[in-house]
Order: sequence, then C-alpha cells, then structure tokens
Amino acid sequence: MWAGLCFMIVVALSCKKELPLPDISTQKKIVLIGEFIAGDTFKLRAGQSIAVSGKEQLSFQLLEGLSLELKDITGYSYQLSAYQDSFIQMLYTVPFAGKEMVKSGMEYTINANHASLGIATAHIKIPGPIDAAVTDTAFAMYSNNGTLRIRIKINDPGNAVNYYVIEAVRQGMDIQGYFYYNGTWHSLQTESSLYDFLKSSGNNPATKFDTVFQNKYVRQPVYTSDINSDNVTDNGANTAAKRILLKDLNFNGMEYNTNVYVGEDNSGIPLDSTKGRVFVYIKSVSPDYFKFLKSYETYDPMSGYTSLEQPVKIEGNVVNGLGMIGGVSQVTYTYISGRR
Amino acid sequence: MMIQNIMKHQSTSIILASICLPLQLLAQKNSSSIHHRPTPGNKLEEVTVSVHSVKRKLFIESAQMGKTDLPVSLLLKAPAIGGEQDIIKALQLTPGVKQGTEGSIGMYVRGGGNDENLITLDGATIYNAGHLLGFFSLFNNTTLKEAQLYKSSFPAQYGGRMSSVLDVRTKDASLQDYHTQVNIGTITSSANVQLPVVKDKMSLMLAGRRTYIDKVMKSVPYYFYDLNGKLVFKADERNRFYLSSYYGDDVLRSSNLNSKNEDQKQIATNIKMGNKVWSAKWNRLSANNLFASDLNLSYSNFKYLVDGRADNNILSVRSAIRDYNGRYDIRYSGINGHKITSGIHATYHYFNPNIVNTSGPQMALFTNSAGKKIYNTEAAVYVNDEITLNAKCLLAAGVRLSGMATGGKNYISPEPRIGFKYSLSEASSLKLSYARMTQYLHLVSSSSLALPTDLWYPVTDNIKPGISDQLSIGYYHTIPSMDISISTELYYKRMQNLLEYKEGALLVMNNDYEKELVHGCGEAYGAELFVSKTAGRFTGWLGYTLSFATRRFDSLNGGKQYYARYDRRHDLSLVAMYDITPKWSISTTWIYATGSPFTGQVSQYIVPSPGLTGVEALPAYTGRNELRLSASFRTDMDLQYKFKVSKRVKADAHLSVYNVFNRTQPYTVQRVPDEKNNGYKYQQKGLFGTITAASLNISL
Repeated sequence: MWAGLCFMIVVALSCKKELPLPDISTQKKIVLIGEFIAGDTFKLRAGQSIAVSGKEQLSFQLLEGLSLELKDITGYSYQLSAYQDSFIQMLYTVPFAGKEMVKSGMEYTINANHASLGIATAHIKIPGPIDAAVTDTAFAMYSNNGTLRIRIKINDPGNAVNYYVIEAVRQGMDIQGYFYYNGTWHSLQTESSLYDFLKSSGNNPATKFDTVFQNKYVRQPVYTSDINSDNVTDNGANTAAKRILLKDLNFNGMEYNTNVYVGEDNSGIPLDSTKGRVFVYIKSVSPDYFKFLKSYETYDPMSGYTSLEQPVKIEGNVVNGLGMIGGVSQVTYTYISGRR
Repeated sequence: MMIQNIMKHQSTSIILASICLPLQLLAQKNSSSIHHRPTPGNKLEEVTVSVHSVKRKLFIESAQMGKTDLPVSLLLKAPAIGGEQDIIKALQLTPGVKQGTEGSIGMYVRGGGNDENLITLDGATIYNAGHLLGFFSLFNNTTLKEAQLYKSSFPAQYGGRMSSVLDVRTKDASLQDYHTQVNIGTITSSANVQLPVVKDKMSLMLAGRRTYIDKVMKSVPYYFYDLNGKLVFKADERNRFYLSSYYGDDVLRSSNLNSKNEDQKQIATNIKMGNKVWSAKWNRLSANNLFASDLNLSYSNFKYLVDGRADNNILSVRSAIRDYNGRYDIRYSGINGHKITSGIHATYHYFNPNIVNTSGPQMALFTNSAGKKIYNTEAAVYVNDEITLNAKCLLAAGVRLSGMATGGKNYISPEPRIGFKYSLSEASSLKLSYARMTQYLHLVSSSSLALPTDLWYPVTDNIKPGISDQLSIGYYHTIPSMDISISTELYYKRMQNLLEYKEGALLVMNNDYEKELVHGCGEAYGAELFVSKTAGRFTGWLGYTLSFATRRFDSLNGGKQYYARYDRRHDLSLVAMYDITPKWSISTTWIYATGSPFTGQVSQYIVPSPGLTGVEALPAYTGRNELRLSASFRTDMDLQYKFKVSKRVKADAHLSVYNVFNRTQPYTVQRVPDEKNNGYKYQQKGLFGTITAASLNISL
C-alpha cells in the first residue's frame, strides 16, 4: 500500500520584517520628587521628563524657568525657592526649599508652573504624628546574611488605615586621629612615623579623635517575615527589600511589634565591619506614597521593554506631571556600625 | 420503507425517513445512529435531502444562535501555516473568534479569555489542546467527524466555561468497509485506519500523528505525537456503545549525561506534557422513538513534568489535573410541540500543581514541595424545553443548576438559558437569546502561548467562579438556490469575577497563586456578519466582527476601565475555495485585524537609584493597553491536485503558501534605542514570514 509513496517537502521561510510602530505622540512633563516630613522644612526637587519618541533626544536636561507655589488647606501660601547643590547635574533636577515647617495632619497643594510645560499639581496629605520606637536591637542571621535585627513597637492610632514604611540608610564616616607634640596637633594618619617614634622613646603624646561623616549614603537592604507586611505577600520573606511596607489592617488601634532585619548592602562588606552610622527611619506615610513605594518595590528595571508582559506602573501624585511628593511623619534611630 | 443508511457521509446525499422526522435531533448528532433509525409501524416515504439543506433549514428554524457548524471537510480546506491544516485555526477565521499570538491555537471568543473555552473530545474535557507551545492543536484531522463551536445561546447541556464550547467528535469507523488515510506533511504525518471488527456489529478506528522535528533537526530533540482510538459496538438497532481514547505528549529530551557543557558540567533537560483521555458512551433509543439517552463516562488527565539536571543538582517540577466525569442526558419528544432535554453531570477534579523535588548543593534556593493537592466536585443538572408556540415562533427555555464543592466553600449557580426564534419567511428568521455561564476553573498563565508552567486552578474560598451573561440578537437568511447562508448577530456580554495578575506578580515556582490574583469584571459587545457557502464548486465564507472588549479591576489601571488583551476593533476573514477542474482546486484566505492593545512607555525621569549610590530612569507608561499594535493583514493560498494512485487509492497533493506577501503580523512591540535620532522607538515583531510547504494525503 505504501509502495511508490513519495513526497516532497519545500519549506521556504523568508526573512521576517520588523515593522516600526508609528511614532507615539508624547511630550515632556514636569517632574516633582520629594518627601514632606512633618517637623522638617519643605524640600523637593523639580525637573522634566523625556519622551520615548523618535522625535525626542535621549538626553536629560535641567528645567529652567519653573516656579512653585505651595498652599496649605487653609489657603496659606508658602514660599519655595530654588537653590544649588551638588546633585543637580547628577539628578537633572533643581532643589527647592522653604523656611517653614511641614505640619503633621496638614494638607498641602503644590502648583508647578512652566511656560511651555504648563501647570503640574500635587496634593500632599501629611499623616498625624507617628508613635513608634525601637525597643531592642541585636545581631542576627537572616536568610543566610548577617543582619542587625531591630525590634520596633508601633502604637497605631486606630483611626483610618495607617501606612508604615521602615527603611535603613548607612552614612559612611571617617575617624580622624590627632596627637599633640611641640604645641601642635599632628595627624595620626599622615604623621604616624613621628607618633610611633614618640611612643617608642617613652613619650606618651596626648591624642584626640574626630568623627567626620561623609556626604555619601547607601541604602541597606531590609528583610521581614511579618505576614502583615506587603513585602511577604508580594515577594516572600527571604527577598531583600528597599523598604518594609506595613499596613495596620490587622492591628488598627493596637500596639504592634515587628522585627526588621537590616542587611548588608551590595558592597559585600559585613555590616559590623564597616565604619559608619545606620539611620533607621520609621515612617507613617500618606496612602498614595505607600502605593508609589509599593510599586517601586515590585518594579523590575529590566521590565517594560516588550509588550508581552504588563509592566509595573509606578504612579505618583503629580497631576499633569510625573513624580511623587510623599507625606511623611517619622522617627529616626541612629546606630554606629563597624569597628573603630 | 425502511431506511437503510440515513447518512453515509456529510457530503453525500442521504435518505431521510420523512421530513417530519425531527430535524433538530438529526442535527445534534448527524451521524449518531439513534436519531435516524426506522420507526416500526411508521409509514415512511422516501425523500432525498442533502446534509447542507438540512443544516440550512436548521439554521433558519432552530432557536440556536451563535453556533459555528461548518463541515470539518470545509474547515480543513482553509490554507494553513506549513500546510498543517488545523481545526481550531480554521475556527479562528470565523466571526467572534480572535486569535492570540500569530500561528497559535488560542481562542478569544466574544471578548473572553483563552481559558474560557470548554474544549471536549468525544465528551471528555481537554485541558491543554495544544502542542508545541500551542502552535498546533492536538486534533488529528484524519479522525475528525464534526466540530461545533458555540459562542452564545448555549444549550443547557453545556457549562463550565464562560465564553465558548467547542464540541469535537471523532469519526465512527464504518461497520461494513475499511478505510485508510495517510497524510504526509512538512511538520507532521498522520495515519488513520478504520475497519469493521465484527461486520455490522463492531468497528474500530485507530489513528496516529507524529512530528519529525527531532529527526530532521538533530539539535532540537523535540517531538509530539497523538494517538486516537475509537471502538463502536452496535448491540442492536437501539443500543450502541462507544469507547474513545486519546493519548498525546510533547516531549523535549536532551538527556545525554555523557555530554558536558563549556563548564564541563553534565546537563540534562526533560520536558514532557500531555493529555490522556478516555470516554465511554452508551447511546439508547426507546422502542417508540420518543425517548433517547446517552450515558457518558470519561476520564481526562493532563500533566507536565520538567526535569533539569546539572551535575548533582536536580530540579524536578510537575503538575497534574485529573477529571473523572459522569453524565446522563435524555431527550424526550413525546409531548406534541415540545422537545425536552435533561441531564445530570458530575465531575470529580483532582489538581496537584507545582510539585517540586530538588537535590544537590546549588538547589538550596528551591524548596521541595509536594504541591497543593486540591480535590473538588463539580456537578450540574439541567432541563430544557424547546416549545413550538406556533408555525413561526419557537421558544427554547431551560436552566442549568451548577455547583462546585471546594474544601471550605460550596458554590451554586443557576444558569438560565433562553432562546427565541421568529420566522420571517421560509428563508429568514429573527432570533434572540440569553445565556448565563459559570466557570469554576481558571488558567493561571502569563502568556498567550501554552507554556508548561500554565496551571489550571479551581475556585477556592477566595477565588470565586467566573460568571458571564450574554444577550444576543440575530438575523438569519438563506439563499437555497446558491447554497448560501447569511447571519448577523449583535451581542452584549457581561463578565464577573474575572482574574488577572497583580502588577509584578510572582508566577514561577509559586505555591500560593491566590495572592497574585485579583478579581474584576469585563464587558464585551459587538456585531458579527457571517456569510457561508458550503456546496458547489465555489465554497467558503466571509466573516466580519466589530467588537469591543473591556476590563475593570479595582487594583489595576487605577480602577479605570481598559481594553482587554485581544480587543481588536475590526476583524475580517475571507476564505474562498474553488474547484477549477475535478482535479485542480485552489483555496485562499484574506485576513485583516486591528492591532491588539498594549501598555507602552511614553516617558522617563531621573530619580536617585534604590541604593542611593547613583541614579536611575523611572519609566512612565500609558494607561493599561492604551496603545495599539499595527493592523495585521495576511493572505494565504493552497493549491490542491487530486489524483488516483490506483483503482482504490486516491491522493491529493497540496502546495501551500502562508503569508504570501510576507507582511509582518505584529504580536509584540519592543522599545529599542533609535540610534539615528539618539532616542527610543517602538519596533513591532511578527513570528512568521512567507512559508511555502508541500503535503500529500492518501486514502483508500
């Protein structure tokens, strides 16, 4: 039956062509970034975005000629002025600040006005004062990492839903040593041979040490196994997070204790061997800021290049613009890390 | 006069006992024996009616709407990629059915999702109807008798999915003669043998299909195969028994442990996924011909296994679904003006997703897991009455009461089904229908392709059953002299408890999918035009769909409504076949479809990097699915030459060209650097260019 059966297969797969999508009509927008922290002065940075378009150069530029107007819910206006700092050329944003203090429980509106980009508006609600404290610290292993375990107690006010954020930032520091000889203070670092000679010859010069903190901050990864945290829900308990995100849905109006584990940063230097100090911020934040930070936590910088997956959208509170001005009430704890 | 054989073949003439023989029953199972056997004592007169004319009559006179019931032989004439005709891909060319990724078998029916289609093979549920990432369906063309797609006005006997039912039936081998068919194609070859085991009593069909990708390209150790079997036993004139089975697997095996990669590590990968399906049916017709019944028992098993090994490190992931199903359906026509159908269905589901076994020093990241074993029972009872109100009006009213018992919660859903027909003339009618469908299973999948990691997941305490309510109105018209049928339908569908992933959902190796899913709702509405010509030298169909499909989830897109993934505004398909001579014929397909929507990045801005050691550019996107890919336009052709190898052996050779004009059918878009302008641009990609293929079918 099969005898004489023959067949021919011809498969010619021609080159696949790529098809450009007609250019998407987008435009630059005003960008506002910052935190309004209760008890601190108003600070934020302002700049402009670049459009993803064939007509737009992939080049960030400072935004000139932007004016900011800040009002609180009572209609009182605050003056914000631009100033210069060392981050301008790195962040392509101009810092703005005001002399007045941010008040907890207050609501503010910023109008950023630019001749060609229009008016961008952000509404910021500052949470009420936070009642939280670090009750204990210890060195602990977590997820195979050496960590600083911080036990935190939160007295939740029990009104509406409260949103908490816990993060840790390390500031590097240098210890400068001096010895006294011949009426002058000499540096231990640069003149160590003289110091050694004096010591060996029986003199015992007086010394003093000065701590100099660097203008350099490194975020420390944090961990939690708290099932009330969005971190455990979203990424699991063993994934390093930028911030711990906690809602009071299960402890509204109650005293709540939770552990946060501050890990090592990407430098690979163990936390207890690096000279510096670690700031632990316990924040009560506005709902929109919590949502922004939650998106930022799950956002993958490598995503969004293809339409096959839905990207994580990081949506802020700037209407007709981009960015986020978060409302924050916080307490800060400082720990010295590393050996002297 | 006794009827000898009521239906020899779909394309041949048949002898009907009488026009007054229930045409509805005839159409339901057009080769089933029970409906067209002689009625002792009835005086019959001989008439000759073609299947096409019967179907045309039903098309006008039944209350059924939203049903695609083209002959399989016609569907399989449509040109296909690589010359591999596929029943599901042909159905994608009919209105209301949208394709997912180019070349895949994904079906998005009237704004629904790919998991909202109930696909059955001889009554048994098929959970994964695809091979090779869904680019081929598991249906071996040589085995197919009929494929009926319901998009609305669902008969009460069907349930369990929100958007469509695809009821595929395999051939019954002849009780008198043997037949053999061999198809030799570029990617697969298949064979089908049908023979009478005991003449006039028992027949058997055996069929197989296999790819030879692994044989042609040694570097791709992949193949798939299908095995079909069907035994028919005619106990007497009123009792028939059917036993049908399907086995099929996709296999990727690179398990040569003697080979080593660049790092001198022994690497091995084994992937195996497939379905095993059994169904048994007892078909009985009462002595007075007024009562007919089907007792159906079926078993369906889908599982996948992924094994990876690198030296002493072993990772094994597997999942399984098993269904044990029993159903009993009856049809009663003893009351004048009424046709009553009723039945009871019960399915015991067993799910065991994500079984993970690991060993080796580098597998510490992966924890062993026995998977989450889930046992559920799904059941339904239904009753439907088709009432002839007068010569022009027909009302079909029914209800299906379905339910699912999960570990902690029981769900019960009444599903009303109503259809109404008003005859305008012998050649035209108006129809109206409403149907509610409830779905107790969801497919957890991140892609339009059928990936091994896709999981069916049942309702739980937190995951609620999906519900769709669909209202349709249609106008139906036939032109008998030209064998043309025309239908237009308007539909509105509302869907509740749809599932989507949260943004940034963790899908791989996740034992707790529920946390990654969010509930929402959807809407779909549109208009469909379908013109078909099923007989004559020139055959084919024209399908046009104007449709809108949206979703709304509180936690997605800021709670705002957005377009569904495969919302395409216009979808036009023209399939034309022409017999140039008795030996030569040509078929062609023209397709136009609006591009599917996507979420695009429109700008970016600078923020300090997460580590505070530098900066990063944060992207800003459009609203969800706010942009659209370019439209698809494609032309396919197939040239067929029929010839005789010998007196008994017939053959037809095909030369097919897919995507004749080599136009890109965009399925994705990527943001890429535009070096010319020092910016970004969007570049769309298609999967296939022009593909020319030859194939040969032999039958005797």
